[in-house]
Amino acid sequence: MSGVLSGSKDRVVIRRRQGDARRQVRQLGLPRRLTLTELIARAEQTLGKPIELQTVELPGDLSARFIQRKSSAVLETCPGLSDRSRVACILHELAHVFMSDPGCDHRAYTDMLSGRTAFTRSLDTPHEHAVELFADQLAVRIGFLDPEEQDGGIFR
Amino acid sequence: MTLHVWGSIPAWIILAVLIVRLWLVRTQSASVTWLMVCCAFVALGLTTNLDVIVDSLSANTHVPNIADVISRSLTVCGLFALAQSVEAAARTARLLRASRFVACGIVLVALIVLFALTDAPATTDKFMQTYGGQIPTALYSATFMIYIASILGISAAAVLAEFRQGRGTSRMYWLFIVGSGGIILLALIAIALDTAHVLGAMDAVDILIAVYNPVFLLSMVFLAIGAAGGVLPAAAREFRDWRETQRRIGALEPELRRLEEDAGHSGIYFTVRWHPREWRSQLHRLSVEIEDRARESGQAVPAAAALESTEPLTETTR
Repeated sequence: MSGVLSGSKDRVVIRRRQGDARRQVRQLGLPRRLTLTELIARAEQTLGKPIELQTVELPGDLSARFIQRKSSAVLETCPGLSDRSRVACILHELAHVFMSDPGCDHRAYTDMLSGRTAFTRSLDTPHEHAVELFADQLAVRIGFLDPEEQDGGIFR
Repeated sequence: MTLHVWGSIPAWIILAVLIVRLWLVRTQSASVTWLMVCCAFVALGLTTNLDVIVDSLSANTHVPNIADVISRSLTVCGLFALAQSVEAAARTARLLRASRFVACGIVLVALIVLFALTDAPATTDKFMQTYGGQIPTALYSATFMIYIASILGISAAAVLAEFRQGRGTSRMYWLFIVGSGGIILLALIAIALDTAHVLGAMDAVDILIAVYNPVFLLSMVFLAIGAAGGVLPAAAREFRDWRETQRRIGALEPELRRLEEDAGHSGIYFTVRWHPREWRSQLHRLSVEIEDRARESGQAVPAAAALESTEPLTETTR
């Protein structure tokens, strides 16, 4: 019985977070459709520094991480991911940026921080759930889920 | 049935197809949503000319021929929606452009005022033929036709621009352009007809009416088939994708449950309440979480989950 109640409570919480994610992405004022490159440019604007994408071996189960330096940021994804997962990883990290996640906003007092793992994909915390839902909304905006519609067209 | 009611049939057919499509697939672009609104208003507007509706509206409102102004107002709203449909297809759509709303509002007010100025005491299903000899009635008809011709002209120009950009526009769209040209011709005929009527040149009126009818019907058919040329193939593709996605979701959910058990923890897929229209997002999350759990548990990703789309990723190579 308590399992059922817990399940229902989880669903209510997730439903609220889904609504929050939709609202937060709407509030970004992004175009109805934009490319991933354009989305990254928007994140760079928000962050106030360029973001470099890299594919590198990451420790443990990590699939991606976001490291901020004084004047730039690095978004690393591990090799061997499918295209879908790699884009999902990138969007997750960008979601952290757009959500102004304080955990990502390192005020560097050294030249380079060791980096905060912003994306573990284990989704262990409620906040990471919210970030993941936010990233799913970004996936819709970049036409990742329905690439055929990306160009749209009259009456299509 | 009057000419206009026959002309409503293509609009009803497209509307029915769009409703069935939406009911099944639950998703559609803003352009198609506005096209749906357009078809609904135009179909209703033209059907309002049905004898029984004309008589019923006059009897219930005690305003003779009120069906005509209602019909034209609905059609104007439908054409406004068509303009929105074309705008919505643009990458940087500005659907709340004030000038569009103001223009539509001015036309609606002008129609109502000019209709009120017309002396039309007896209800008839041939309003323009009976009362078209008055100047307010001629202006009433001209205002309506110019608005419609302008919107269709702009829409046809936008479709032509799509052809020039080589965006894979169906050749069926040419019929939309031909239909739009037909309606522009119809507007010219209507203005000439009303002018001849006001001037009392009844021979010219008879000739122009004979031309008006086939031009109207053919234009409506061309417009509907032309619009369908974009809508129907996209609808068929969307339906196929939706059906395939439902099949994949059904096959992959047990895989995710198994992998969650093997990995020892779960993601958010099974706690999210998926709206029927979110089937693409649902498959995306399902595929991503299957890959996560497979990696964590050291297993291969099930082949059915390996749905790839590389377009956005390619852009990141910079």
